[in-house]
Amino acid sequence: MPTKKQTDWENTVSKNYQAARRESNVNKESGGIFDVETGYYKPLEPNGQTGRRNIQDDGVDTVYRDRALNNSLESDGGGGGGGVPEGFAEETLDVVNANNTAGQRVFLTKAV
Amino acid sequence: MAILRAGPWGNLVSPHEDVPNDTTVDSSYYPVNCALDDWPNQTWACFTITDSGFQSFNDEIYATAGLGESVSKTGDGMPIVQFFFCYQATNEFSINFNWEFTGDIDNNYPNLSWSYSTIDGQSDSYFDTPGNSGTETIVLPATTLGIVHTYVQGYLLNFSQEMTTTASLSAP
Repeated sequence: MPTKKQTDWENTVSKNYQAARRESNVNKESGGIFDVETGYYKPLEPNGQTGRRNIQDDGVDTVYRDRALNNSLESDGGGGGGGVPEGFAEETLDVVNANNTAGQRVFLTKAV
Repeated sequence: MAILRAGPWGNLVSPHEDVPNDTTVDSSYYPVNCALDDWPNQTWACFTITDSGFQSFNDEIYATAGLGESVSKTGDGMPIVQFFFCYQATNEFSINFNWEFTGDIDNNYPNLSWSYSTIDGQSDSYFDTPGNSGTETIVLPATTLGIVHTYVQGYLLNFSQEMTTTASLSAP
């Protein structure tokens, strides 16, 4: 049976791993660079002239960064993310499957 | 590739019709089936017409029947059983058309036929003067919508005699 110290250490390692993975995902979606040594995406190096690291530091594309962060958090939860695009609705419709059996598929539909 | 469901009733001209409020009256729309399978909310069905064979009697009975369900008509001469249904299928499949004549059938001269048409122009038909019982296997092609009609009629030379025509559609 692990000691409390061992358990605390394992929890810390797990949290550190999850945090690193989340940051890597954000960096990846923000145009970061893959680091072959660590196996994670790292942020862009600061621009030598402007000192800015990447576009969100310019204050230009914070929406993109927020979306990347949300996607990262959702994917951490195993949900897959995305959701139904605006203007569309999910409908479950009957189909004939390839083996002549009846089945159902979920379609994204939109009135035209 | 999957086919999107038509129906629940329909025909080749109008594939998307509601189930009639009353399925015991004449209809030009028929149940649309998924090959031999049931839909999630609709069991396999065909529209049936039975009558004595004498036009002047106006004694047609309209109903629906399931796969494997026998339908009978008793009459004093030439009782008829007809089935109509639509189907959708991603692959060719077969369905059995079963029939039997019982009663005073010593001088029975029956006739039997089936036909199908599909929305993409395929068709076939068959006619026979069958024995007093049997099974005809109909091979139906893959299609987004097809319509099938089967017909079987007993025919006694002596109309004072009585016979029963029984038929069903079943999976092979």
